[in-house]
Amino acid sequence: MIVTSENLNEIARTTEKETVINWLKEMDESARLELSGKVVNLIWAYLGCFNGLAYYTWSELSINAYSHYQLVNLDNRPFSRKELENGLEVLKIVLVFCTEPKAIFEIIEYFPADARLSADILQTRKLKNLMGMCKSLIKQGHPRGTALVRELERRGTVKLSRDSNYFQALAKYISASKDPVKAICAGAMETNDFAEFLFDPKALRIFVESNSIELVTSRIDELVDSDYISSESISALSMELLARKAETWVKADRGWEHKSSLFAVALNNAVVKDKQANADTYIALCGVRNSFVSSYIIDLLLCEKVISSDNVALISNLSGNFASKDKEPALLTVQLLNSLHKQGKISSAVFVEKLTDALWHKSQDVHDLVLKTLEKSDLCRVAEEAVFLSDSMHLLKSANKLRAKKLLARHQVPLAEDKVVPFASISLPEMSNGELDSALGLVKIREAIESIEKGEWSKIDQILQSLLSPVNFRKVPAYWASVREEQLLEKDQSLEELAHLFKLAISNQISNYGLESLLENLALNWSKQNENFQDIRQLFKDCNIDAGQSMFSSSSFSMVGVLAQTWLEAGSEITAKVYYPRLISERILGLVCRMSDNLRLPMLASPTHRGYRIAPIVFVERVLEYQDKGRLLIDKVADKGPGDIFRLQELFEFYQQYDYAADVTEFLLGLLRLAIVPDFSTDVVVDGSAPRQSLLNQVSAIFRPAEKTDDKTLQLARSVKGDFGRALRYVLGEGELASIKNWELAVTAFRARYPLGVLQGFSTPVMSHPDVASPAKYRFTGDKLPGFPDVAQLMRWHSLVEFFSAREPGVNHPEITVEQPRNFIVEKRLQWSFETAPLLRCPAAVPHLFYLDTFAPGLELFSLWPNNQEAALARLARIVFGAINTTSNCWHNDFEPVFEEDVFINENGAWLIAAGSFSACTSLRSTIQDLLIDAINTSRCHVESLSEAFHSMLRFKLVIKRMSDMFKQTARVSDLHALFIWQLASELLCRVEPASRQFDSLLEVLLEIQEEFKFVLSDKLKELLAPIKGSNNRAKIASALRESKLDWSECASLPRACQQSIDARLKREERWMNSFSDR
Amino acid sequence: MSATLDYHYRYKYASVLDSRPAGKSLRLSTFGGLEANPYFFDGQFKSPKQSADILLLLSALSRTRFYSPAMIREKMLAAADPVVTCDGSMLRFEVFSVCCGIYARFDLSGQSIDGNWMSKGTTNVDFNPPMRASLSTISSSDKVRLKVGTDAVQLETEQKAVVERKVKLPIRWLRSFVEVQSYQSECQPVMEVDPKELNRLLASIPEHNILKRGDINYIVPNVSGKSLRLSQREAPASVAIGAIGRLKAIQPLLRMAQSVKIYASGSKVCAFEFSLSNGKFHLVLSPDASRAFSGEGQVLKDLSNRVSDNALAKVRAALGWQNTISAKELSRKLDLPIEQVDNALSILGSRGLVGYDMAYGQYFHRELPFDLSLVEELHPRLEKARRLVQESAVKLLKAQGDETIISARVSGDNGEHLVRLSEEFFQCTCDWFTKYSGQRGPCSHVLAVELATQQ
Repeated sequence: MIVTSENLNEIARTTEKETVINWLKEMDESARLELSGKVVNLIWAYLGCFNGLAYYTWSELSINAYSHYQLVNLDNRPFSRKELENGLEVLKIVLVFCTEPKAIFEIIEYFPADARLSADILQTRKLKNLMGMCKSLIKQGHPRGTALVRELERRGTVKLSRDSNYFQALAKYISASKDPVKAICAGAMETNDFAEFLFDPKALRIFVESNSIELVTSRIDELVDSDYISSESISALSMELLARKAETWVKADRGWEHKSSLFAVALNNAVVKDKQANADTYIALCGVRNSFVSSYIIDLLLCEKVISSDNVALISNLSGNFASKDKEPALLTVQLLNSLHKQGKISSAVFVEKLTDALWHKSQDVHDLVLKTLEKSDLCRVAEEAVFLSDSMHLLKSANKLRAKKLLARHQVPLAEDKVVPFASISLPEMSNGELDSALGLVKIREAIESIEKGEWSKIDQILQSLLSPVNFRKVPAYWASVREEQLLEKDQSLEELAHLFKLAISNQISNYGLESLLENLALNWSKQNENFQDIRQLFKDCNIDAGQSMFSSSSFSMVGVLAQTWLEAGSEITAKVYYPRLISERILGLVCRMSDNLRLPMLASPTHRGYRIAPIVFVERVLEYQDKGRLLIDKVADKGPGDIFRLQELFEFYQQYDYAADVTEFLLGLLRLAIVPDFSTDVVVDGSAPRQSLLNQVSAIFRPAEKTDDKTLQLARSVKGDFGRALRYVLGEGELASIKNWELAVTAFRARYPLGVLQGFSTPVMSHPDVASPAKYRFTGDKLPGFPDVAQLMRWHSLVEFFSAREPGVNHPEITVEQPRNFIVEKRLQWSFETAPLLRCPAAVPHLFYLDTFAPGLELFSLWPNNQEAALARLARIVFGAINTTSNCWHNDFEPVFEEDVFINENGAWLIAAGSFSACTSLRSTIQDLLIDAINTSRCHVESLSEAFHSMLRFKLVIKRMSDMFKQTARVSDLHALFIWQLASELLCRVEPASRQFDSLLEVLLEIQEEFKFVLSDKLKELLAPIKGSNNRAKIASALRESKLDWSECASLPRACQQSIDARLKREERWMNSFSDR
Repeated sequence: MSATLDYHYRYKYASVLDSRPAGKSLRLSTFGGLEANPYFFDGQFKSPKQSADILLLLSALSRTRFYSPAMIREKMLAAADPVVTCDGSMLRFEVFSVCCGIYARFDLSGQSIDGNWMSKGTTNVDFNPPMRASLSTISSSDKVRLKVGTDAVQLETEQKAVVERKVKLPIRWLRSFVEVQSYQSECQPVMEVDPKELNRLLASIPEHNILKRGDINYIVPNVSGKSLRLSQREAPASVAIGAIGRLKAIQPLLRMAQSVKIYASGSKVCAFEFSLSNGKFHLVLSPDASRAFSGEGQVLKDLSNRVSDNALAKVRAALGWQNTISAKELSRKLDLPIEQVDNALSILGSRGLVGYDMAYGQYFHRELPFDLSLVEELHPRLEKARRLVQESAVKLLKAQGDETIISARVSGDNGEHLVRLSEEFFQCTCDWFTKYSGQRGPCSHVLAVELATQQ
């Protein structure tokens, strides 16, 4: 009988498998191979029917199974279950007969379950490339394939190398069998292979993960019982496995390394019956990096299953556990040392030395156990041994440090104490300027020192307050912004530098100052005609024009490309588009317009000093230069703004038509960057529409005479014509607001002079934006948000942060609900996109609309308006708050201005510090810590506002340790910092829930500061801590704080902090006195 | 994959710690240098436990990779054996981490070992795993004999125990060895701190953050001067350190150290000198975990420098395994200007013939036991610069304004570049320079201009 594709189905249904085998044996190989396509399809169909049968009765045959049923049931004769089963077996045999060896691994799952049958058939077929087939099967790792290979190996037909693939396939095969032990003993694996199998990490992983550690170890144990492997061999193997794991550091509950270490330990425990016989190996491994291995061995030593004959080696090796990252082996080691000491196997000196080593471990639990051990053993009575402990005091923290001190005190071991400096030695400056001294806080400090000298310690709260009060120059009438000689920007205006800056800009590597420098350099040099210039221009053109053009696709950098194109190919059409009008686009387009008019004029808003400030006289000179060349004169304003023009060429043509439009952005930005005398009074309200005389009266009330500032500048400014001149003079302190005709000039001039003032009477659509008519004010309204119990949840509504912090007074925001914010943001953004173009006429508002009005990496919020400290701080706080759970940030540049001494860290600054101290990003936290340290150093932050901000943050589920670590590290900087943090933590302690984790953390902070600086707890806090009783850590720390017999009169840190505070203030004064230079 | 040098270690025997009734004996096997298997020292450790711990730490550092670029994760390069220099008064053990971002040197002082100094020179020593394992069993009470190399008679009897190991030494490892001298000579001491404080500082670094790339921290002394803190901002007397987590590797050393001196250079390379009872331990860290010393190119300027052959030869001839080489003294002795001697020493450093000891601020004689002709050849930037000069690709421009600044056009592979060069700075408009802003040494175009101006 010839089996063909046509009769295969019928044969499978009706014929016994032995008969089919005989028929197939008689067929030649090529005829058999022709069946291969059909047989696989039939197997699928039979399996489909079979599965259908398994789950459904015939009447309710599933649709899937029914389709298979139709395929194989050609004559509509119903199948019986027996027919199906038999058919399937027959087809499997046919499959073995008709499949090409190289394709077997793909269909091995349909081969007969009995590997011997398959091997018989394959041998009958006398195939040549059985080896290749076996390798493929092993690589694929299907248990049925491995069984077939093992069977062929048993018959000697093939012999495969014992590589990792082989052992992995074996592991899968053994794991798939019902009784692995039986499978192994029945020849699944030769005894010789067992060692390699056990040491193959992947094979072992498959084996252990398919079963369980306990099951595998017990089965390996069974292998010993069934004489498959000798007890000695498995014991040696297990010791070897343990040693192999020794140097791997394993993170608990993480991945296979953890599991495999557990397995190595469990196996060793199960199979090594005589542990003492391997004592030397155990001792060698007792301080290894793998904490499971070392813990296991120390446990054996503790239970005395292993007794060390060489204690010196043991002790030496045990030290490794104190350098381990894990606490478990360190804890066990302390116990073992204790036990050895009790047994007299190690001397007291060695014991104490090793216990001191244990204190180098970072776990507090280890420290706790060491101290307990020392307390019980009473070892510190011996002076030499107590020295070990007193030398290690720096390693201990909070409650443990307390205990160690008690322990040493009990044995009268003295600790080094600070000498108290008399207050009389503090140098106080001569008081000269009442207002200035008061702003510096020196008057109060003098009073405080007088009180101390009189011994009026009851006034300590006021004394501390005066030492820590911030310097606030805003209250001094003649406050100058910081423009100092050393802040003058050094500018290299050579052509080579221009080429270099262009290259940096094109490569997206340029800094903000670099870009300013590029614009300024180009504005002054673009038309220089000399040999070098042409040479460099040509060179730049040759190598960079392609790069410049390629940037046209990117919106943020297209403007640099436009600039390069204009410079290098004058007259060519600008093809780029602007998607978002930005200040930088406006500025560059203005420069391009001037270049097309063949004008070589400086950039008006280029800073002359660091901090993006412009020396006023330089600005005035620049404006006059413009006016000399016929610019900034025409008060002609387009009826319609450039608004929605997105093609740069059209925008360029618009600007060419209106010189005013081309230069005004530069002028407005220049006004905001002027290093002038801003007035931070919050009660300035000016009515811009009021009659001229009345307005003058209003302004006079708050007017500070300009002659005190800079006569020369103002005199020169009087030559500036038109509205531009009026606006400029108003900013410099002369003239009236109502005389300025153009609203954008008036608004910006007003804002530059009064960052916190309110301007009434103008009615333009942009007036409602922050920092236009009213100053920007940000409020944290987290408590008004229902359904946001913690920050993590809040962050899911990322855009919500944008909303709740950007609240401007006078603007009616819709009431917030959980569903609404997203829609609101969308609406708001749409609205903004239409309004941004006119808003560029009010650059003061720009930072509030975009986080990145980007033209270069890391725009600094302060770069647009250096005096706009409040809003910029609030924006920064908002950004930090919004990214509190982000582990990386790229805002380091943004923080640079916050470190300027003139930036007052008040409410918004406090928010910034509080939010940043909980950030998940380590480097951001570190930056915020730097800010706090710097702010204390320069006396510009307030305990109260910080404590309020921190308290608000503590309502969320945040990582308290981040805050407490920051407090502890800040406190160690100096006595003044310690005092500040002491007060801050004390304030916070009064605000938080007494039974909370926050409370405990703050207690630890206070204790650590008290230990080092000997500050005295306030009466209020003593009362607060009085009810805390018990034996837990909280109670111990509370009692230590409460009962410490410290006295402010003996506190050495207080006079030092006092001197530091005075010195910091005097430094501020010196800076203040020298903070003006002409240019 | 970086270029490698097939290096064949051929030790006469495996280094071993023998335990005999009379005491333990640490026998370090040597290979290479002036002799095939030199014999440097035979004596007794005064503080065996501490010395053993430091040797173990050194060995661990040489096997550590602090940064693994994804491409080579699967092809980890073998760690090289430590290099030992004996000058007749101390033993200096030098290693590099596998990533070549950390250089460590342990100067085992003569006062901490009693014995006979057999000869002088530099060689490799075998640090095999069994020996490392047994080193950890040394305790303070042990009496341990140290032998660096073995005399010829003993070698005869141990002929059969030849230990051979072929390793592919990455060229960057060799380059790092010469580059680090240049950095060390730039380093200046900034602060001296209590090891306890440094330990406290390291403990404050979160585990998950220890090897964060591109992260520069500053070690800042607190107002009291006694304690330290980490900052993100540069402050007076602060030390910039990239990927600070790498320092955690030397935490065990802090327990033995009596004081720690921290050095810094303008290029954000920092160095630590640990004073120990038995010598000094130096650790030099590259500016970032991902930046090996080999790629920094600080030495390129030295290599491109021209010192008269006569002066170079004279200085070289004056080397005699001194543990400090005073440029001043040498200048007087050789009748050469001190600048020439300084230049010659830095060139010799860049050729691996002298090392730099920051503790004394002076070079010491040490000849790396490798074929160093490769070092200069394998500086691709220098090679390219020479090619550019040969091809007359450098066109000097007329000086404008400041005449101390040289401007030139250099035709590179991607068009022409504008180079500016002075004593204080160098600048180029090529992509490479733009990317690193000169932090990784001069580019080939700057070097070409420098070479062209020397001609």
